[in-house]
Amino acid sequence: MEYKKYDCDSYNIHTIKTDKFKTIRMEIIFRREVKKEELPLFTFLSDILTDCSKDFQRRKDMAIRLEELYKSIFYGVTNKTGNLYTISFIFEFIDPEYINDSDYLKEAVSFPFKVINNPKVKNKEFDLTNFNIIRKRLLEEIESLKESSDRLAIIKALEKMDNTSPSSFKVFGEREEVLNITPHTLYEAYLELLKTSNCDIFVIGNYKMDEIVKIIKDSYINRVIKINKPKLIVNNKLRKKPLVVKEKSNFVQSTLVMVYNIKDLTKEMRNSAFYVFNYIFGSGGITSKLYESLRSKNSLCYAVRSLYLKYDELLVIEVSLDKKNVGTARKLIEKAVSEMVKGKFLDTTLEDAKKNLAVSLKMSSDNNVSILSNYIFHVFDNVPLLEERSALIQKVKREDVIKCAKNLSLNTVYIQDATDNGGEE
Amino acid sequence: MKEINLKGLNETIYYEKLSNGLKVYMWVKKDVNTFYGTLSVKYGSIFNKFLMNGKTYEVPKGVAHFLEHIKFNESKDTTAHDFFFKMGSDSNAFTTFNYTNYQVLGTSNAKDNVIHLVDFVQNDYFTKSIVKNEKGIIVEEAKMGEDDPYTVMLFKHLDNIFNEYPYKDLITGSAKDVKKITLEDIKLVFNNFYHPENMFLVVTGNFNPYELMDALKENQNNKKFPKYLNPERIIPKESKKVRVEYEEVNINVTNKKIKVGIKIPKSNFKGYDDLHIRIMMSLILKANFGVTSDFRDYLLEKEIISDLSYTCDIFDDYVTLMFTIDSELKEEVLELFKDKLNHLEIDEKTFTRTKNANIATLILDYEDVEGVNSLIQREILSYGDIIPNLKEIYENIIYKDTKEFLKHLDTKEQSVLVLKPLD
Repeated sequence: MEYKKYDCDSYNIHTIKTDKFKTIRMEIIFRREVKKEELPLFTFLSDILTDCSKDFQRRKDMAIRLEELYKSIFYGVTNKTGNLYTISFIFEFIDPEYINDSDYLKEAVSFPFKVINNPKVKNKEFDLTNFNIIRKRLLEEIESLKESSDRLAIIKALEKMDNTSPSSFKVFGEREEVLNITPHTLYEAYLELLKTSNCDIFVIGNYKMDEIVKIIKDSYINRVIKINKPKLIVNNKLRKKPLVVKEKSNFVQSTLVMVYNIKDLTKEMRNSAFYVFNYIFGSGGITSKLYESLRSKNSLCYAVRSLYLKYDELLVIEVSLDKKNVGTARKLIEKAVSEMVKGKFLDTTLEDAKKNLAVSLKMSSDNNVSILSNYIFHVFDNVPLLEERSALIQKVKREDVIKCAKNLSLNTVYIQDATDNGGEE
Repeated sequence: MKEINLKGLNETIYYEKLSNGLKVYMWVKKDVNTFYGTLSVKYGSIFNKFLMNGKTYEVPKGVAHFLEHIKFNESKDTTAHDFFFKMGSDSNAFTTFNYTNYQVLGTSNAKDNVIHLVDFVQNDYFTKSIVKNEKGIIVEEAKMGEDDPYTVMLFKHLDNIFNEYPYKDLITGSAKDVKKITLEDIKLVFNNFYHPENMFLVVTGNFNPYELMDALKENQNNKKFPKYLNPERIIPKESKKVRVEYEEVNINVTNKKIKVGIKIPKSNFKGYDDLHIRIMMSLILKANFGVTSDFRDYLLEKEIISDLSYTCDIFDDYVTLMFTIDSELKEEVLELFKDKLNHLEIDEKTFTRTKNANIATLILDYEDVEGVNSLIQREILSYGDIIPNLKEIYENIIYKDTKEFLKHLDTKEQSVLVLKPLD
């Protein structure tokens, strides 16, 4: 893989040339620090900008154009990673080598910029028809979070932990916040996005990158000078005594969520040792300590997982199960943490975990989205490249894993209790 | 070993049927790190009644899925996961209506991994205590399904469309069904359906196909299998009518959803095979209800709906079209849908654009190791074998064909399900 950076004054283009894929993927990323009030605005904006433009008045017109470009894909997505908020426009198209069409490369590469540069705006307001369509959809998406028991429980647990922490903010925002957005405030947000965000464009594929970069430079002129790097890590407060909250729900199963702070890890440990710890502890699927204990030995659940939120410095454990087993599950999870602290895992387990993580990284390099995701954080936070990460993982020692476990501090236990008739008969 | 050239796609599939009946398909991509092996057993959740040697057998619902779960146990103290974990590979499985699929994904030692995949699936280690221990886990999985409104609404809709077909039953079985499953049921199914004649292996990615084929032959030649008795699924007779024409239910959704299901006897499409039915339906549905359609655009613009999706499936002797519509305006939506279904159309420009887009997708399909594996499985299960000239088939479809096909599309038999939030 050949990595290259092009400095375009107000933005950078980063290219990865590889012959593994038949498509070219382009991500145009605006990044800024998380501000609660901005989240629903920019989510709304990314949706409306990819729904219509001056050239493509309706979603249908945009979809037709994408089909004409040999079924290219174009969408907007917003992400919150720790304290970093990204508003991304993703465009994926077939490598021109497979198409007998001389204008295709230019038409394709310039397409997302034509859309982003020409929003469907009149009198400093987004078009009301498109605005209403997107608003309705966003409101329904916010509501639909309540349909998924595990997602809802994790959101609630993080809110209970600290509702002023960026870790607890929802990317879609709240219903009321969306209702307060107007076509005019949305247009102001559009101008703000271009004016005050850092912009990076990433391209991965097998085409002549200099040619692609030239088309991008001709298509996208951003007059904004690059801004300082946003801070990534959220410093979530610790608790002396864990907060325990139990709430009723309409679900058949109860969901238990346990949120741990991860204290004082070096950047290197965050990028390597904690992944190994979490693999052995709870993310390694069927062979993890949590899975062994809760599912294999005690038949309490179908699945249990631990999520490493690196930039929030949190570990979130989530399990759905019969309401009568919640107490047992909590004890078993705490016991598993304590065993990790005492180093109760085999050397072979450690080596196997490292091997499996190395394999996952190797597999990631077969996927353009994974390569790009890793490279984006290489650019944003100097995360090692995929090929370097494997070597770092191999260096992790038993004491590093134990240190990760010792640096956990239980913050919040959230129980989303099943409906009264949800227990076993 | 046969090399099958996929016309117009510049791709090759290596194929051989082994002497015990096991069919092996391989697709090699040298520039990736990954290999992916899947062993499929043509036994799924709808096979709970079957005929063998003139005798009828019935097992509890959910047996296929239960067997998938406990299949990973290799002996008293070992599971297949232990082996794969040591190898740095990942193994998993799933069960559908029609089949059970076992998988291994890794980056090295493809031969050993695939051989172990075949070994553990063909291993007959089952005990009463394994069956007993697994019940609690599967009951929790079934309950997870009850908490997922999308699973609930799909099965409720299938229940309303079909009178006798078992597609309405949860793949896991209900908690009650799971509790009924015995060791004897498991053995009966394993002994008769987990036979090489009833399986196929698909391996995709970076590996040496000749080395793997030699190892597979040696492995299979060293095993003895009883005579394959060709158990036949008993397919109940299904009425042309839907079971329930209209129903409203309250479930754990936050926005009202309307599902419209259309049931069409396959016999309506005389002269069309399953592949052509699917291709034609895809073109027609996209033109009338897809993101580029005027109808969908109108419904969104007038804020009658907020989303619309659709599927076309073939269930034994019936073709179903299932629409899911997010809308609060039930009467208006249903009226407009009724009218639209009576006036389905496709113009030549849309036909050409959609057809070309589908052909571009075919080219892109042969890239991702897991995606290609699934694609091959899908073709074998849907059409009995891979289709080497799929691109050509698409290219040969002309506008007139879709106009002709439309004449056979009778959308009268409908089942409407309205899903409302709980109070």
